[in-house]
Amino acid sequence: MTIGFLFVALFGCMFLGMPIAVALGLSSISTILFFSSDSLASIALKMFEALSEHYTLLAIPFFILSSSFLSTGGVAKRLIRFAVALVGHIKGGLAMASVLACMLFAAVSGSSPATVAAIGSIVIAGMVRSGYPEKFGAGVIANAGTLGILIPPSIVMLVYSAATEVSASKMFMAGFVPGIMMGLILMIAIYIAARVMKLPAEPFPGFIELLKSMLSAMGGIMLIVIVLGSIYGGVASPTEAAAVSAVYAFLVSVFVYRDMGPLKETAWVKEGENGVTLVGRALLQSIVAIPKCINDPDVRKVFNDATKVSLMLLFIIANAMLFAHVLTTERIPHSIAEVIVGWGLPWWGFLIVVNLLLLAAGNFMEPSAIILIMAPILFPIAVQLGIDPIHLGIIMVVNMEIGMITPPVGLNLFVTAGITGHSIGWAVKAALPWLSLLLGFLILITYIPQISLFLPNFIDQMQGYK
Amino acid sequence: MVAKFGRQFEESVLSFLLMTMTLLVFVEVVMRFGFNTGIHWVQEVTLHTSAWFVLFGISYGVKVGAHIGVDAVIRLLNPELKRIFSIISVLLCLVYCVLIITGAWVYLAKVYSIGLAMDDTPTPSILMAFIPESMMWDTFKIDVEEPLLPMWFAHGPLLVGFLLLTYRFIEVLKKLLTGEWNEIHMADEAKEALEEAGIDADSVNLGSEEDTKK
Repeated sequence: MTIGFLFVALFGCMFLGMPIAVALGLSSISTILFFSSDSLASIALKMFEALSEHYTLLAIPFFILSSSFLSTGGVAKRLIRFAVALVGHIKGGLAMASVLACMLFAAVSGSSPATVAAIGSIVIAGMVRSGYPEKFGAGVIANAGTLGILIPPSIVMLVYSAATEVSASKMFMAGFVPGIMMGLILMIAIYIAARVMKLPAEPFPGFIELLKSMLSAMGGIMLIVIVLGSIYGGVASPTEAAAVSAVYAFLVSVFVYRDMGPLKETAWVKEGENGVTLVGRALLQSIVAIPKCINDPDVRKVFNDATKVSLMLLFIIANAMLFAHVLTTERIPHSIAEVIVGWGLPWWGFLIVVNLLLLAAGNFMEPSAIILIMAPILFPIAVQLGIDPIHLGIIMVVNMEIGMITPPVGLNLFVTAGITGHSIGWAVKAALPWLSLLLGFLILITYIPQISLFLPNFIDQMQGYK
Repeated sequence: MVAKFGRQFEESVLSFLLMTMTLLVFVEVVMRFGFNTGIHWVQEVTLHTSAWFVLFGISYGVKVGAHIGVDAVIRLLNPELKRIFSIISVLLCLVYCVLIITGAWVYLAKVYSIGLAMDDTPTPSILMAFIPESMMWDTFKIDVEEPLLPMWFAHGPLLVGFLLLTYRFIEVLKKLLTGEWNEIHMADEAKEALEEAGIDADSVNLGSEEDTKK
């Protein structure tokens, strides 16, 4: 009865077109009022606690802030230049370089659609110029862009750990190997396709260009190194790493790359200047520029963008915590678990059900919302069936990736159609062959837990916990 | 003019809160690694800053269309039906606001009457300087012996934030009733990503045919 009311109210509210956060909150509050004796005051207190007692959640606004500083076209160009210099000379190299650039940019920006837009708008045209079919390039980019939520740091993983209280650091460790693996699978497939389709290779630009391009991309790459290094090394929590990366991203984008902010039009090197005066002048300019940032339109825009996304996510999470509270107090996951265990469903059968359920949900909802609704329900069942919570998390994230390239709410498809000027139907067809790779990868991830669990266990061993 | 100033004011406050919480955690990290010390109230202040950020931000989010929803069903409807569905949605949103506001009022009144205070955060001495001795406890519930920040103040944005949210939803309701809007404006990550790349998101061909290809 309670279960029925909760879910009918939730989905009713959502399909009416209410904001997801309010739909979660209203359905939970009305369930509490009708079926338990909690007062409105205690619900208000729960709401405030959900907003003010979760230190890990602070990593979300910090990562969003750092990515909105670095998801600029300038950073995308630098990463692409580096990727092309590194792998461009292999057959099908330009497409492989696009995958690599997508992986790097996705790790920095943490957003799949932003990755497709920033990288895709540059490389698809480039690939067409070098003689690749446009469909080929668009399909590769739409798929490689989904890696944004699998390669850490990832907002969706933070949301999962908020919903289940699984350690965010562990999730970040677990996503690394699958993320790299999926990138490699895409690149190998591209290589094979390039051999068959006789696609061109770029000339090797020489080691000097490789070094130069690496140096210029370093500002972005260092962010990944700082974040993952400090979390994997166990010296900082994800929240602390995220705060440092936000400050780092501000400094790099405003004072080093100068893509935005008060120094935008100021050149690094003046003619005939020596090193000492150059460094001195740059330092002086930077110090003068710091107070100017407060009223700078670019910097303000970055803050506004980050504000909108962060508060939207945090408000959904706060309401999802009310929802999770109702689930636990009414023991809803336990009753579902009993039914499922009663069917005699083995763990692998349960995971098939999970995959189908998530793929279906991914067709009409945003990743974070799905995780917040589904994780509190699936998590206790999975634990009872002996599935590792971290493994479940990675399965959910890979499912969310697939949701980004399946219609009708495939965000990456929409962006791909936008940047190429073709229809959504065309983008679906372009992405389809690569989507089958992603589905195969999902099966691998689901049935070989070691792929996800290898790195977190290894790091635990190294630090002597096991 | 007033609207523009109001919007800039909201954006400045929210940016300031976001910046403050980032810098607080950053400074804490620097102090721990560089100087091996820390300030005991930083974590509590950071967490409450983030709560204030969200509570003051949700109403701004409604105004600028930052929240997300599921449009799989309502986009299949004709404009008139869509408007009716949206009006029902906003009315339900207002019910939600009223429920939380009632709860928050009862909760804050209780906290105020007991005179609860924060665990670690002191009341800033600048604020204390403006408060006459006699009003310290009677009006503001600040314990002069141990001047921790009173909880009604720290948790107050719960009430303020939802009152602002109610105001914004009423504004949306007005727009829907007058027919100025026929749906609630929501965020679309894909559209924003495209606009960031300088492409008009409304030009995207949503069909499967290629007839409109440029």
